[in-house]
Amino acid sequence: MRLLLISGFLLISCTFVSAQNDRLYAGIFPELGVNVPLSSKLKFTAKIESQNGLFRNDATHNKDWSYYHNQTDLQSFLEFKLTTRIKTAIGYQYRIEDGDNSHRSIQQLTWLNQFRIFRLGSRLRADQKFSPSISPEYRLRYRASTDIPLQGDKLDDGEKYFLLSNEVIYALQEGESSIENRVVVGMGHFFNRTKKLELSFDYRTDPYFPDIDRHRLWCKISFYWNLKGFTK
Amino acid sequence: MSSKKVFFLILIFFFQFSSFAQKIEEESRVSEDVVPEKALTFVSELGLKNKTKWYKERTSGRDSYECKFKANSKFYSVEFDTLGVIEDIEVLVKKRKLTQEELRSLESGILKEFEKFKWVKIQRQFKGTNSELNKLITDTNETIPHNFEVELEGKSSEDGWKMYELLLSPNGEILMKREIQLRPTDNLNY
Repeated sequence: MRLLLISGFLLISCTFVSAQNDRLYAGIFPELGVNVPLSSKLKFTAKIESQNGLFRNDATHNKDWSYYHNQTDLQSFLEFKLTTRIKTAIGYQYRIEDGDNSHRSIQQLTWLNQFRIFRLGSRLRADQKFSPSISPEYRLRYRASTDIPLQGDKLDDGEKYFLLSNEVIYALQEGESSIENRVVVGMGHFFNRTKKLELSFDYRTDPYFPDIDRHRLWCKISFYWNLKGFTK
Repeated sequence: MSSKKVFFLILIFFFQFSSFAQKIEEESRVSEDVVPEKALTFVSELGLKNKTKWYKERTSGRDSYECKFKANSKFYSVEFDTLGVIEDIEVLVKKRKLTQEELRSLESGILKEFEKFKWVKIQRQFKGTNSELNKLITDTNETIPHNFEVELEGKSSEDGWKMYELLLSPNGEILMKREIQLRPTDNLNY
């Protein structure tokens, strides 16, 4: 509780202070992920996530507190387990975005490092975005994330965990480069091996070339559901 | 309701999040007050400089108490039953700190069970009398015959790669084998 309160307060303060002269957007970001194992090595994941803005401050909106739909992503992934801790996946995303829907192909490699009191998940991902109105965008991204049990050394059913992640995204579009950084801090509730709920703050800054001029703060509500699937 | 109100209501919901869930624990941190006297006495006689952390564990319906601490640059875990009688001491050890002979014995035992494997965690597991186990921590040169509790990723032709916990004797004989279910990583991967 205190961890979420402190980290949330710091993140919100940091966002509003650092974004005083920049574009700032904030809102809620629900997401639902459903996993279905297809065999002992193969797994299918479907995910829906939606960004719903509640605040805008930019050239056309002056500290405007009004609802707007930013985008909704429909994702699907086919994951192949290389070892117990190394997995690779390919995916497809369809983005619904006011008048500019797009397609995205995704490839990723993930691996897990177990330390004495926490585990560190690494994700290396490449994606390519195609849309009828904009030139293709190519991105290479790396995310390090961890979830630390808050009651004891291991996470049991019904317990909570602290989550923290940082992702750096390099994007190339029409020969122009940009970088985006995403920090996520929050808390998760591990109901059991099939369900978990996470509440977090997702703070995004870009484009870093030449400087940061956009800040986005999302209150994220994520639910992960693992179905039994077709395995024994 | 304005967007501003919605935003702040969501923030309040976030901060209330930790209070709604039920608490069902298999391993939980406990204060010294609930630990059996005998167990506290054993630990206090060690004269530890670093702080200790106490846990109550329930494994297969059986309760026990565990004290974790760092001493002599090593991580110790001392397990007691509910009456405070010491059951074993586990000491975390790095692979490079094992002797050549220990490593050879363990690897040959593991390779009888698996085609390939990767080390995850190695612990020396000591059992003995109170005074033997006390000396083990207070006197760094002291040692007694012991088993090894290891966690590894093992590959077999039938099951592919899986995570296991093994208890091995010093000559590499497998005394116990159980599969470890890794916590789902969907939140870290997607």
